[in-house]
Amino acid sequence: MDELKSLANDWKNIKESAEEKSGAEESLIQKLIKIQRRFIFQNLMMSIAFAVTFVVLALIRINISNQSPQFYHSIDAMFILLILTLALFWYKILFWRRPDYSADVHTFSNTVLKKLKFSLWLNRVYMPVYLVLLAFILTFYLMEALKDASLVFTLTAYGLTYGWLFGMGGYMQHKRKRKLQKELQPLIDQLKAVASELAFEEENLE
Amino acid sequence: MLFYLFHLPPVTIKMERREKLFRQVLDKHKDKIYRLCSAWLYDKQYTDDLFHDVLINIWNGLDRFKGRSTLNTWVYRVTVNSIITYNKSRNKEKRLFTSLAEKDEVAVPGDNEEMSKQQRINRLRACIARLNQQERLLMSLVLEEMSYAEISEILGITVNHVGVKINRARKKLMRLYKNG
Repeated sequence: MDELKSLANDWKNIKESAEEKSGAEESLIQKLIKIQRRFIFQNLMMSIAFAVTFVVLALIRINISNQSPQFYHSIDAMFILLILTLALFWYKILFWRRPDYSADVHTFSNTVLKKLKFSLWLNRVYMPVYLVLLAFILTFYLMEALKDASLVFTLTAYGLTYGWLFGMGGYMQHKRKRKLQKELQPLIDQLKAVASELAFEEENLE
Repeated sequence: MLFYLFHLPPVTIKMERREKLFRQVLDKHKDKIYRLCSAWLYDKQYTDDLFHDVLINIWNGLDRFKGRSTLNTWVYRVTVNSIITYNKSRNKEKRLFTSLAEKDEVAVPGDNEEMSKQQRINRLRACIARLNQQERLLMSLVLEEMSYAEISEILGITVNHVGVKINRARKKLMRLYKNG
């Protein structure tokens, strides 16, 4: 135990070394406030983008009359799909984005593992399904909206729509998937190791 | 004073409380936090990044601090949880403040006692770096002279369990330290 005490004394000589001492705390607090504001702003922008889409859909629904039921059903379906996506997005933000770091390590590691698996599920399963569903809905919508349009215009509209959905959407999805894999998988492995080590020994001791 | 307090908007009081607690944390716990970070990551560049992450999480979490545990325990929990979720490959925010870019092994010239102390510190850090991740965490808490009960509260496991794990980790560390 004396050896450990001696190690502990040496250990406590390791100190953090910041170059600026005077005024360091003030500028640190200002930077922390700035980071917090940036986080809130980013989430608001995403919600505003969704809100604009809802408004456009609502305007189309209300102002364009004498269309077939298929036209209105496709708008309603888009509305529902976007609401579901927004709900999942806010669920992720509100309940998962800021985990409670002050929980005990065992609880925290299990909670964060669930969060990370949810993020992976959103990206790997939900987003591809979302893109496919959106493609179906837009197809029905375009069939009605373009029934009197010329062939060239119709083909261009379909081309742009699918190009944007599967080209741009697929590319962004692929990029995000790679980023998540690089960032999240090592973290998942690390947390699994922590959680299982804490749980395994507990079971063995009981 | 009370009259002034009652006339401040709630957000201002909340921010003032948060700042006050944060300053307390910096005054009393900054070096402890840094040591835990350096036990997890031997590389100083990553240690500094992790240290900044911990401070951000402490700042963000202080509005939820209700005093159910001591500030000491609360800070250690946030620190350990930040450590186990640290990802080196993420792009980092700008550093919160500048750290000295000195190398880890710095000898104080002309002072044998100081040089010997620094060598012992470097050796201890190198030995800790050779433990596995969980052992490093545990030993860094032990070297902060925390009791088994406190460590149990931080980790969320039984005191018995803590004792068993610390015993193994301590023996391994002492073996590494003695054998060099």
